[in-house]
Amino acid sequence: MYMNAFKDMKSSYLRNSGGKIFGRDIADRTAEEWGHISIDKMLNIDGVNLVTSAQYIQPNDGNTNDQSIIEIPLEQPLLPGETGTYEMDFTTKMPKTIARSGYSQKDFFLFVHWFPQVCVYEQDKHGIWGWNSHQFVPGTEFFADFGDYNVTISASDHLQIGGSGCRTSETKDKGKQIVEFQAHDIIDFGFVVYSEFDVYKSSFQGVDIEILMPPEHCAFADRYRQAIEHGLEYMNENVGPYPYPKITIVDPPVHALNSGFMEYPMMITAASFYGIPKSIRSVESLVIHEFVHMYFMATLASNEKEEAWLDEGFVTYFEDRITDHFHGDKSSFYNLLGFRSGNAENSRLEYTKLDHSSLGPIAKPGWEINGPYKGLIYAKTSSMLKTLEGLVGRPAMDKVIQTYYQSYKFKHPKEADFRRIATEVLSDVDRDFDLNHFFDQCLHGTEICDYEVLSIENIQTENGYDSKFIVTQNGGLKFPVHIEVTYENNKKELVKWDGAQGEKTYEFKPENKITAVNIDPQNKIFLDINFNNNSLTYDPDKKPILKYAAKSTNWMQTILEYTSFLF
Amino acid sequence: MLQRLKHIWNRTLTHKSEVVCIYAFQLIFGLLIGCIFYCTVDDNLGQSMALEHLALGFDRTIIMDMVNSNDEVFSGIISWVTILIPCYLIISILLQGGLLFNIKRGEVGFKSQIKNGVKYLLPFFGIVLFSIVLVILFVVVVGLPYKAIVGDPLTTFSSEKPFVFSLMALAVGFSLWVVLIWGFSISTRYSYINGISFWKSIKTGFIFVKNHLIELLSIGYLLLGIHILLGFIYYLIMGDRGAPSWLIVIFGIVIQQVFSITRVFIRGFGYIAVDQVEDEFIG
Repeated sequence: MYMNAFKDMKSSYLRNSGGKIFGRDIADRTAEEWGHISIDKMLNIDGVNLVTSAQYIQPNDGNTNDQSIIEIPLEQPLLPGETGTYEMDFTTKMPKTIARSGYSQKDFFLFVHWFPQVCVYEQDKHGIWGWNSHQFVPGTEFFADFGDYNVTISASDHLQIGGSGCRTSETKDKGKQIVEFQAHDIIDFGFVVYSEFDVYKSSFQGVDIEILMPPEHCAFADRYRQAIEHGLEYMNENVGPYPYPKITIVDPPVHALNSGFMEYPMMITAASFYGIPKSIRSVESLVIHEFVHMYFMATLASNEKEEAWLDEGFVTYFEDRITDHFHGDKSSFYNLLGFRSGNAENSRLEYTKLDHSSLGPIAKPGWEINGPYKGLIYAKTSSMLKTLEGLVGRPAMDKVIQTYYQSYKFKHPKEADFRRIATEVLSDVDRDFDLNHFFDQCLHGTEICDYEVLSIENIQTENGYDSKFIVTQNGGLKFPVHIEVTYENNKKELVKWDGAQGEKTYEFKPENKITAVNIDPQNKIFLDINFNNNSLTYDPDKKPILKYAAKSTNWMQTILEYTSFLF
Repeated sequence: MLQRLKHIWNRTLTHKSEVVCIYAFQLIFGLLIGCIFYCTVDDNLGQSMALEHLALGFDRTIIMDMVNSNDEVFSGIISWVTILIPCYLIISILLQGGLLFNIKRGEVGFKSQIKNGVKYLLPFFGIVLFSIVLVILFVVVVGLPYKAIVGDPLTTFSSEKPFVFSLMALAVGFSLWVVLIWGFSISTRYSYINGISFWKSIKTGFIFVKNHLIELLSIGYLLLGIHILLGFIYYLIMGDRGAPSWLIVIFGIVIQQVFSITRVFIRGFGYIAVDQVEDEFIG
């Protein structure tokens, strides 16, 4: 009963929101602007209304004002192997656009969380069967079971309609339209209507693409289409075939911006703003991100409430890979006036900029995460996966993901399932680290990784040099790495290090003195919070420092000239 | 028109020593920041092979890793900038005042510039403050009501286009206002140099602006256009070349300084253009 989260400010979702959702005030809404959902009746096969004995429950926080979970006891227990058929009438009042769902100007409606969804009946980590029912609280998203949907929408014919699933019929008569949608094996069904939408239809690799966007965003239509095509091409090739016949992209108008940035099966909501130049590719990144959710959320339907990292983290990892592949790993996020950044680079920086002393583990339920949700769930997970890729190689990593996808599509995989697949697939790969330890420390630990070269020393002897260098791991994460040692004659040598916390001294008796030491020269350990201190050289290249110092001189001159124009 | 522009430019060149003097002060302030910047980055990255990546061009990872590992890294530079800018602005009143005096009185040389700059420092400081108040007036009279009317632009408008266009219109309006204030500020100082009292100079400045709206806007937007064009050319030449060789680095420094001194010449050109209009007005 997700819609009841938007019933008033007392719901568990909103009571600690500080009166704001996505930075917009909500506390002073009128009664008309709130939304709610109620079940009018739920009949079993004998026509008995079960709702009379229903009650709202609050398993997470005991907030009796929260009505996001309703428990409806059956007249008789449904035994294993038995089937039950129930008929339900419900009423939903849509709120003014709040967190995605809702209405806005000119008959914009995003219908999501608009019907009661049955919780997932599954085994918990102890193997006990039961309903996985968590309230809708901040930091959590959704969890539902797969189903087939036939949805008939009756609306005024001035509205454009789009949604999850495929349109199977459409009739228009006397100012009214009736549209039927059908979808198989999806965990949720959402749809959108708006009087102003322009519709752009195309097809790519056998998948129908439908883009609905307001006229003022028409410049983005081609960018969206290309982003989806990039996503389809890359995921089809590297993960598995896109499992649905269609994808709908909704670009909400600015007055319904809170409807954007979200994924639903076969339908995503993006966000754009008039005038964003092509060199700022956050628009494409967002579309690709939400599209990848069709794999990690819609198909591999992990529990977004308990293990958000399993969808958001994997999605961010592939968003980074796709955008970097098509737009370059140093310019895929933006490339403007000489300043540029890659998508994976940006994800890593979202993690490394966090205040690490306050970080919690990423493998914990959404309602327990207080703090940098995105930096942890999205960015740390994607950096962890990129680190794993660095350690085992991309082909092996792809094999892990492909096997995971094939094994668990249309199921509800958990952390243990992914770890089991990774262990099985990587058992053939030559590696010098314990995979279980890798996951334990990255998913359940709070340690960081920070390699550093502390010193290099060369003492001349009769036969050459007594050389030594000292490296250290300032954090507790332990990954094996290579250290590249460069000698005066430009000869390079690779030394292996287990990367354990603390200092390690390496001593040599080379003919030529050591001029540089570089830990993890290819930056494979993406979780390393500072790449700059990974190396030390006797022969540093000072040109860039002089160049930027000259630039800063010039920036200062420019500032002085322009600020003093009235002086 | 071209003849007039050429004449103004020739007059500007006669004041090259004053222009160079202004440029030299800006360069000294800039070098202070440049040296602090060099030392800061050298302390943090000086022995790192990350510099090899930075030599290939802008690298956000290197910059951000430096900032993340030492969030105080640029605080020294920022505090110096916040100290140096107000100091320069005071000096700028003196330097520009001296240049205006030389232009008005037909004198040349930086000695006269400094001497007369000092002489007029206080009244010109008053004129500057008055001009700043006029700029702020726009924010109060136009900006605040605009903000009140627009409210939350994401919900007020059915599309962001009207908001974007209204912002652009506001920016154009602001630039118009600023150009006029710029003309007022110069004209007022010229009047004061001519021996008119402070408040009468202010009044003369207003009258001058009122009577020469088109000329002032033409000069102002011409200069603005030149600055934008210069910025574009600078970006085309410099782009993000990295620092692959000393030759490229030195070439970059030379280009930067050529553009810096050109900007100061453009300022002188603007002063002389206003003086020309004023002379024609008086004449």
